[in-house]
Amino acid sequence: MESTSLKHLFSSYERNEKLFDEIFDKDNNVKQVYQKIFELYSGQSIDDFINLNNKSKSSFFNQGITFQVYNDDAKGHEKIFPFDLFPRIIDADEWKTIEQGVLQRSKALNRFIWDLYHNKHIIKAGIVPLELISSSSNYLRQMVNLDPPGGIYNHISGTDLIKHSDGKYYVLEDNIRSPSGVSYVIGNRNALKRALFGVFNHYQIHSVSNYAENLLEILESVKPKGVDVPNCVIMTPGVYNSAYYEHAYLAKTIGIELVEGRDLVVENDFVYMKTITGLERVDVIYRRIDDVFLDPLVFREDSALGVPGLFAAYKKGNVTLVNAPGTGVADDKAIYTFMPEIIKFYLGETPILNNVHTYHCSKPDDLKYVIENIQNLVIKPVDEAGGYGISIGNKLTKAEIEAVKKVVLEQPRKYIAQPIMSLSVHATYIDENKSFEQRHVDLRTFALLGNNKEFVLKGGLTRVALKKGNLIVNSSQGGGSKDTWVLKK
Amino acid sequence: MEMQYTVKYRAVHTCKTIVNEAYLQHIILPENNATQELISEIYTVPESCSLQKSINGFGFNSVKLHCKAPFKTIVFEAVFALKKIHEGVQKKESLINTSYQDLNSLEFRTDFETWLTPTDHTSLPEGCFSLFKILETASILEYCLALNSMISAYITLKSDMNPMPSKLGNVLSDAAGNARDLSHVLIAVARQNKLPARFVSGYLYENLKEQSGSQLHAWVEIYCPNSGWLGIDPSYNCLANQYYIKIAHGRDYTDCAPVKSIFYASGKHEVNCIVTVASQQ
Repeated sequence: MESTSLKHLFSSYERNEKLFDEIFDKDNNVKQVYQKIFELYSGQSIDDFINLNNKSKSSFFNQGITFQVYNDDAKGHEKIFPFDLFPRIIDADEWKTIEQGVLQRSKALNRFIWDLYHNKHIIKAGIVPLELISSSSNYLRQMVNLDPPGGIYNHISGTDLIKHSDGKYYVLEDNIRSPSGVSYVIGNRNALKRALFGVFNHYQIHSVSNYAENLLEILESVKPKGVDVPNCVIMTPGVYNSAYYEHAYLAKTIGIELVEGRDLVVENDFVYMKTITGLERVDVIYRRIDDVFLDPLVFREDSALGVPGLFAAYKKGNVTLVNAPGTGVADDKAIYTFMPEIIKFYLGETPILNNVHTYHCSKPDDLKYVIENIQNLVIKPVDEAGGYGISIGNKLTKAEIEAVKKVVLEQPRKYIAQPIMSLSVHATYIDENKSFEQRHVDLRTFALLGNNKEFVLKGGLTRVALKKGNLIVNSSQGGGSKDTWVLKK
Repeated sequence: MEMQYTVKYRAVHTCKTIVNEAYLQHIILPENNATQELISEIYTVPESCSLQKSINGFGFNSVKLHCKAPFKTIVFEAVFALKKIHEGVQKKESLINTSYQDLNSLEFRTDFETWLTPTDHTSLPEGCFSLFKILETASILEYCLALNSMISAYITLKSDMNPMPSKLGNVLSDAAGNARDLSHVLIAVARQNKLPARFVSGYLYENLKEQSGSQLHAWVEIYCPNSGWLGIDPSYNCLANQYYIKIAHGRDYTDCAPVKSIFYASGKHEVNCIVTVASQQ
């Protein structure tokens, strides 16, 4: 089926031959997995599609699926998460590789973090430089020699993948502090079902609604010693947090309490929740606040979000924190470079997923290369998330390049650089032009690790850069998302 | 030689406005180790506060007060009795044969990473990195003693205790600081010279005729390969001996600050601590 023969929605779809298109092959034919849905969508008139699109928007509004964006004035602005009605489809074989790959990385990272807080074999073996760890602001010395319940640090991992122009998946980063977005995966599926239920009849796809029950099983599997049926809660920084919707959504769907720091109290190194019937012990806390805010008696004294005494309760093994404090040391983008070696060192396996070549600005040779080639590179701060602080070389003016050089030279340890990867593109409905156009996409997967239990959500958050040519897909930077279908075999 | 001590600690927390709830963490309990043994502990707290024993981030004992009734002033007192065994300096002679090569090995630097990495309070200002460079012709013990003497001679000891540690740059330019500041300088220089060093908070028996009371003391422990941690006090240019009662150690003062307070109120808060150490030899 040739795109040129199509009318209506795809009539103005322009293919850039240099980019990997998820829907069309090199010969402009619709790929097999997309043929049915393409046919169904192509049969719609523009007016019909506008109606459906509005229906999906109101579905998000009615579900309260919003997020906060912070501007320079530090004030949060609530936005509805843009959603695209054309799903991304991943076939069973392709997904198998992704699933095995992200699980491999999660397991290797867990072993790595354990090692960093115990014997540090990987450093002594000369594989990961000591300076990379000692200079990391996320390496918590308070965690040294502490054994987290079940031996798990990164219970929840969010791995960001892209498909390059060579058609292969590459990992952009591993998010193991508080990866967010899973509620949007489920929200996207619900919205698409409400708007276009019929299209689901043509595909056998995996459900994503089982995430909540698997998360609860993971939380319960890492209960403190001596606890029979653990009381699990989700701890949120509060309604002003950008991911508050997700915190509330997960608590509701799992069926556990959503608490803020002020709802908890520590007595004799045990954590309790204040309820109208008195104090109720808490055993497992899925915390969605950063390490430094957890306990004002140990970390930031001015933290009003945390609970005084929480870390002592954790250190004594009376409560489990998910993810474990100090996990962020492996979330550092400078560590990412060593992932192939980390996987080989701990698991004795070859990495299943590719890494993007990365330059460490802390290395003199790499720094020299980066400074001389900024226009061809993406410069990223090692400890930021949400797409903040990223500079894409070929989009910068001369003055901006000079400004980036200055900040990199001032704090080289804080930056890495990568070649500008060509993210694959996917047909995306663009409101302003009332048609489908190519837009860059990535994929965030969600993996769970527990005590003798593991789970990868068969689906994910396909993020879309809604501005033409833009490579930053983060919601905080104006990105949207798509439902992601993983086909059953 | 065995010494017996009685330590009295008194902290007065005052807030300008009424406080409805507060957490007051005191890291004041002498640790049990090879040279000291806690015999008894007695606490006096207001009825409106609950007292709980816990640990700090590095596992040292703490005493926490959870004050749930409105107050403006809280007085907390503790009395500790303990035995101290005089270690003797002969044991330290093993330090003389210490090799400097160990300090450069990756294994050593990795094992002692926590005590070799500068913190905000133990980072030397620019231009001071070559301060008191290690001379490998001397033993590590000799180097430590010389470094201690240099800091002790160069920086005048002040008795005032600001709530927060001074910046090292100011301590060095003013050539004056309290025990905490001198300890931070010694730690910074030791770490710069690849010697693991940690901040120690504790009590010092000063053998004064009149016990008018003082504050908690601070000194340093430096790790010497093949020998262990060596207590060293830049305030009085000596090795820590039977008069030094250790409470806790950390990377710097903030890891083992005697008092950390969380007040659920607005307004300025002050804490005044008085310590008396009496001995029965």
